[in-house]
Amino acid sequence: MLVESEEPRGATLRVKLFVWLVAAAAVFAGITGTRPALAETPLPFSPNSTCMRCHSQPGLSTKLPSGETLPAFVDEARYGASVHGASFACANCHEQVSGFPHAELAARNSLEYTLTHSGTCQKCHRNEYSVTRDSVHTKLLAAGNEVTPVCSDCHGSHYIESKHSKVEISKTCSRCHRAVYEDYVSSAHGKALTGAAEQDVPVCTDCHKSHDIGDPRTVTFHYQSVEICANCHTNKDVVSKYGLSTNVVKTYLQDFHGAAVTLRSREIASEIASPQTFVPVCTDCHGVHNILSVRDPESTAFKSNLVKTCQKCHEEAGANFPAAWLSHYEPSWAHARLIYVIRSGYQIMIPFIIVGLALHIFVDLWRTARKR
Amino acid sequence: MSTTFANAHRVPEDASYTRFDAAQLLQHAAVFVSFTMLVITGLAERYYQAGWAESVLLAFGGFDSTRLVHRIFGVMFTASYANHFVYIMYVVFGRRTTRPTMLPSMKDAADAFLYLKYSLGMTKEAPEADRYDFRQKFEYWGMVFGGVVMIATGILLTYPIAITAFLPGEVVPAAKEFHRNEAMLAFLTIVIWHLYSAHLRPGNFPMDRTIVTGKMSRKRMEEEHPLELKSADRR
Repeated sequence: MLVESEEPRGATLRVKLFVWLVAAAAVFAGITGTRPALAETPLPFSPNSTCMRCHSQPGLSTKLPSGETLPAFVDEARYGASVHGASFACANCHEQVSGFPHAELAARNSLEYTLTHSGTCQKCHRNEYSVTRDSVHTKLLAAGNEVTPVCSDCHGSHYIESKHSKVEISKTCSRCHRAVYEDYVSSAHGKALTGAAEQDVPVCTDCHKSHDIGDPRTVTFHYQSVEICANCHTNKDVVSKYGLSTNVVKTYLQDFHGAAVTLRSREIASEIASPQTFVPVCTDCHGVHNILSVRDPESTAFKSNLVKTCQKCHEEAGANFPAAWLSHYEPSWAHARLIYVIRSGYQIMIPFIIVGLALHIFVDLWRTARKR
Repeated sequence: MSTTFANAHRVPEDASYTRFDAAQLLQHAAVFVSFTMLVITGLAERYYQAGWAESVLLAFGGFDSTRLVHRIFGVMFTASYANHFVYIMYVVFGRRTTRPTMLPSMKDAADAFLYLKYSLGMTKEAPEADRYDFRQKFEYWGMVFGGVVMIATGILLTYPIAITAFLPGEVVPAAKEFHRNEAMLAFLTIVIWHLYSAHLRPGNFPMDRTIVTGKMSRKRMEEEHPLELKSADRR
């Protein structure tokens, strides 16, 4: 190959150039957001109007072998207003339907029907679909738990909207996670989920993510939860509006609990620690879904409730024990004055002594050199 | 500190003088080992976010093990102090075999002043030191008081729950603040000052073996501790 004439080498170059151009075009198309033109792909058999001749009849449904009713009515106007309405034909998703009368449904019940359709979305939403495969929902599904949600359970099927309000997101999750939702709505976060604050307040997906929802019962999640809280609670733009300190994570990491969490996660990564040994994160003192403001007398982190909270781990802790923790304050003249005075004293004394000793060394060396 | 020397006047100049006995050398070795280990484990705990600290913590088998190691050497350090106290009481006030040579005196204050004049070239001769010169006494007492602070706050930090049963909670962070700052002061003093004055300074470089062998040459004794040598020879 190496000794061949100039001609094929020129051809190779042309092929390379072509490949490069195609790749560049593909990248450009990606950047400009052009999607593959789905409307141009030939439809199996019909435009939507064919389907709507029957499916626009309110109340249209079919019976599943389980005895359940599978509704088959589609509100054409609402579908048209949905994100898919403008450019997608029924058959883009309902590919298995290939004529009338329709073939017998394979699904025995409505759960199975939903599951058999759940692969449809990945044709376009490849990323979302593949990260969802790592979620706790998909894992539970794989383990045989059929009531775990697939795309359409959260997003809907025919009437998918592009934007949800944050309130709607938490309500979507509440359809299954009712008890958690009830804790959440009465929490500091849930109560603030109105009006202008809406964008600042976390809903379910802000902490748990939307597609790649991890299992919150794992040790990894426990340790990573600090970062989740830190995302907002170290962001001045978010929390300072509500009179909250951005120092909470810093002061946590400076003290023993925070150090232990940081180190323990690294030890687990290096496989030298058993993940079972417990170290507390934000939620262990403040609460999880039921988290309340520390100014709320009901909060587990409210001053008079602290002993009980400490006793969750430090069983023998007495009434004085909580004061051993500086409540996320950096020592200053106003807060933790004793610590501030000790610290300042050493900040003056240490340089004073060290500079004195260094000068002494310098003078000693100088004298020795002169003597010789 | 029993330094009785039979027929010392006949000893040639390069002969060695026994400056420390086995008990004293052991005391230094115990403090040396425990102090070093406490510094390594303690600094790693304090600066846990630094890369080197993480390596140290993992090398000790994780931070729980590191804390345990720190406490074990803390016990050793405390035991060294207790032993030293008993030893001093015994040899100085019990058997009276030695003078309380570490006690600071007016001479030390005067020596410090004279040494400064000497260092600046204002006098030709450095002040004559006894068994310990003013710098060694300063370091010794710094070590004694610093060590007491470290031991007291260390015990407090080991038993925060027991301590807060009868003391206010704020003593725990106060103890922590003392412990970490006093430790930093001790560490810097040892690294900068003790290593220089005891080992690295011209004449001792690279290491003064007296603290391992207990022996010092008479020549050096004449230079560094002439008063002690004289009083030993007199006996």
